[in-house]
Amino acid sequence: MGAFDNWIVQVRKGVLELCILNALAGRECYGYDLVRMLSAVPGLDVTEGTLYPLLSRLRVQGLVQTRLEESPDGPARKYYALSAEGRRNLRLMNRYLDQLVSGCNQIRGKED
Amino acid sequence: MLAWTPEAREEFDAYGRQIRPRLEAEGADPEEVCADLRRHIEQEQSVKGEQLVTAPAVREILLRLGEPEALAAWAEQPPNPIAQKPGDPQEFGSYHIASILFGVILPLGTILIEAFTHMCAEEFFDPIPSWRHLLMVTLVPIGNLLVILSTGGGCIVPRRLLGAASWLAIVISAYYSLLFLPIAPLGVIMIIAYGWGLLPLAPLFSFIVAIMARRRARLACGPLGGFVYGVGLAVALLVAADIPTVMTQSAMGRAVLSPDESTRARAIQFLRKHGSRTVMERECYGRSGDVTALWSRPFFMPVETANARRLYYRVTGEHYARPDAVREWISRGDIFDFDADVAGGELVGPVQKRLALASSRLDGSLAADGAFGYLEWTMEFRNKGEWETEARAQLALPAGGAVTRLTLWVGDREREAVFAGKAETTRAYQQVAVRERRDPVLVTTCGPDQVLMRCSPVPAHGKMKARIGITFPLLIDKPDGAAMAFPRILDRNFEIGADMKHAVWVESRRAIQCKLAAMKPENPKPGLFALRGQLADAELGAPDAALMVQRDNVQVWSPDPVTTGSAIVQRIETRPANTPSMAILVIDGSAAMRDAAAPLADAIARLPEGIPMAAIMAGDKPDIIQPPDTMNKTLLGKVAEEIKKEWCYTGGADNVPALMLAWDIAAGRPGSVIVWIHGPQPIELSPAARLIQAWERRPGAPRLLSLAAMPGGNRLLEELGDRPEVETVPRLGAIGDDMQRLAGRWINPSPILVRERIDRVAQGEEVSSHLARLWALGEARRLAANSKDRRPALELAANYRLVTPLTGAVVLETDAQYQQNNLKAPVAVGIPTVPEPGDWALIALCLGALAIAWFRLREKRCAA
Repeated sequence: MGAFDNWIVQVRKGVLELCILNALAGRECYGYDLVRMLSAVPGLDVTEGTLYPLLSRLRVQGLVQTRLEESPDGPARKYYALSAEGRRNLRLMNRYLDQLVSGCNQIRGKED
Repeated sequence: MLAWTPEAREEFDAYGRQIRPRLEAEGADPEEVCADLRRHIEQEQSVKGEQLVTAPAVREILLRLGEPEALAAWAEQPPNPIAQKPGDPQEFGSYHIASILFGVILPLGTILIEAFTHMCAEEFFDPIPSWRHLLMVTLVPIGNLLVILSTGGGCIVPRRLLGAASWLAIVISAYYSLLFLPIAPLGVIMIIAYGWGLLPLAPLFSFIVAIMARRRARLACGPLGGFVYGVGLAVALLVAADIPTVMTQSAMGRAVLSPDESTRARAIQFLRKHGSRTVMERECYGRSGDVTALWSRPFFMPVETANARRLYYRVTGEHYARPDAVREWISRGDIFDFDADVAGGELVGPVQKRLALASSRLDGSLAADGAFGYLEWTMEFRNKGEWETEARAQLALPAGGAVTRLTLWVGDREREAVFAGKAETTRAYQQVAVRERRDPVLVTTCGPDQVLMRCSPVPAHGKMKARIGITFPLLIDKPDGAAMAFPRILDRNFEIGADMKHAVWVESRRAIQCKLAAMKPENPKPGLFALRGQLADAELGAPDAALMVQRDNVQVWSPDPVTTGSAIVQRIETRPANTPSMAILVIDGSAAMRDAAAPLADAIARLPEGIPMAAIMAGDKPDIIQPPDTMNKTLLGKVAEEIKKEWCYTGGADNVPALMLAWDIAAGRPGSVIVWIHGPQPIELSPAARLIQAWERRPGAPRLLSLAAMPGGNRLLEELGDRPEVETVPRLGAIGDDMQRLAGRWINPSPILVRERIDRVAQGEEVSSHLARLWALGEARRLAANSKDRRPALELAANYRLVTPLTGAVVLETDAQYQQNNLKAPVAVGIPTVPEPGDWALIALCLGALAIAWFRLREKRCAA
């Protein structure tokens, strides 16, 4: 694994959680759809099997809350939504990331 | 809740046990994750429509969900290239290629092939009879393409739109799959036998691909939705595409079969405004035709073909097989090459697409002082088809004329006709033409100044050549001149190409003129005037093609070719004004008359005052637009205004009720006349039996003068044709001028030709034996009208070689055929030619005189 691949691993580790929280920002999401949506994000390359443990961890941490709803044409559906704690964390994470990217871009601009 | 097989549970539990330690290490709840994964598996199976979760399915899904690892392990994996996006070519596999091939390219290609070749329409039924159907079926490959592309890695359009497109493709392809189901096995057989035949299977393949692609798209994009929009739109399109057919069929049923007259009338009005012409045309050929009719036909009372043809004329005012419509119709495969139903019969029938008039020439000679002419019309037919077929044409003769010669080319030999009773000649023709399939030609009358020519059979990829000779009187409308109109084709079952021209040559010893610029003057010999031209068929029938010839009022005579020692003498007398006691104008309200209405109205406004007159408009119902009254300028102006109303001229009008009404008005007034001003009557809407009965039963009944505004077949005149009370008004100019000419004879003295047979040497100028034939024609008519015994009239007409209502002319191929049919084989004596024998003698005399003059001049010069 080269230096670039190492860097990618680090970025993805930090970003995936942010992606999940952003996906749930402002709306409740059906688990199956959420998994499908995130697994289709280019570059994120997350498998569906990976996301369920992460969602579970976020729920344990209190950042997301879940509810089950019976469905007439299939299995019961599990809906995910941000908790108050999750929304606060998301704000902070987004703000931090924006500042970080902005700073990176400034440096990049100088180098260019 | 889906059921799990024990093996599936075991598979899943093993997986759970394997990942549990890692999940705990990551801080996740193992129970929750396992429950989530279980729901995920059930969801996928549910989307696939499965009711049971099996071990292989669990294994396949878990394998796709990813290695049984937790976040830490995932993060350590090397990433895939970011450039990978849904629908990228990299995502394409054999499934996508096969789906696009069978769900997009095949249906699209099938649609294009059918739209351009009408392959299916010709052989089975028309799957895309209108642009609406074309639009609808084109949506199937488009919908399939959208869904297939979305299975590559996610929706390429909003999911609801994708779902709607998917349902649209499913419903429409299912509909067409059902319609094509009966011929789908044929496609399979063709593929097995020849390796091709996919087209009939295109709807079925499209349907299968649409179903499979939808399932895949649901896996790729999640639930698609769009059921209501997709199915709703598909149903709306099907209804929109099919509703004109259904409405037309329903209205046709009501228009023909309803016992209520007002319902029938309303249905006809509906068809005129909203009816599908294509659907009505198809019914005229007894073909269900388009795709809608396959299922809708059982819901409506069937309309018989004959009724459909009558209805088509009532609605449109056009014949269902009019020549200018045939090409489009052929492209749909609805004209048959072989019209066995009319072969040998009295009907002209529809145009045969591979039978054409290859050449036509008219050679005429006018005896101006004798006020008659003779014209030979040679026609050659070419059959490009695979079947031999009969050529039929209805010809209008110059007014008062008769066919006096008929020739058929058998190989290079010319065979002349025998003239005999109409029944005998017709029977012989049918025996030889229809049963023995040999080469006869038959000419019989089919109305006043009309004949039907039948040539059979024109061989496949071959030609047939025939000639008819017509003897006719010239129309004397002024003391020093006479006029003639060319014969013309009224109705035919062969095509006349746009580049086909009639080669015309007419000559006379008097100066002749024609308004048509295409007719060029010639002066072939001293003292001989000629006009020549290449005339299109429409030009030949146009009033402008009439010829004017100078003449002197002299007594002429001709030896009687039948009775030795007798002569036929003709002199001109002046007949006093023949004012009718009542003139009833019957104006045909058919659509074909629309252009003639204004000039006709102007002519009527200028008719002379003081004549008792009535006027009836023959529309859907007869309408008396002017009750019987003595005409003055005000009333004539009122009639003219009524005639000008354009709304009167819609569809095809049944003229029989209006003529019957006119007959009722005229019957009580001896010396009355019905002037029937009409367009073509290509379809018999109601039988003329009532009219014929009226004329047969009442002596001194009114005369019927037929003034055709334009050339065309006239079934009603055919029916009335043998009645002596029915006459045609010669067309020598604009309809207004001809109307004025007719009215002029009502108020002014007019010249009349009187012919008689005498048993002594006659005084005056000797002319050809055509004069004798014209005398015989008049005499045969007189005999037929005044005696119940038709034999003398028949024998007279046959002896003088005349085609009359009682006689016909037939050419058979061999003498044996004449004997078998109790007919005398024709002899060459007495057969007329152009120029006439008398003219040949005159030309020889002139040449002799010139030779003598030349010798004398030479002698004088030598002496000098």
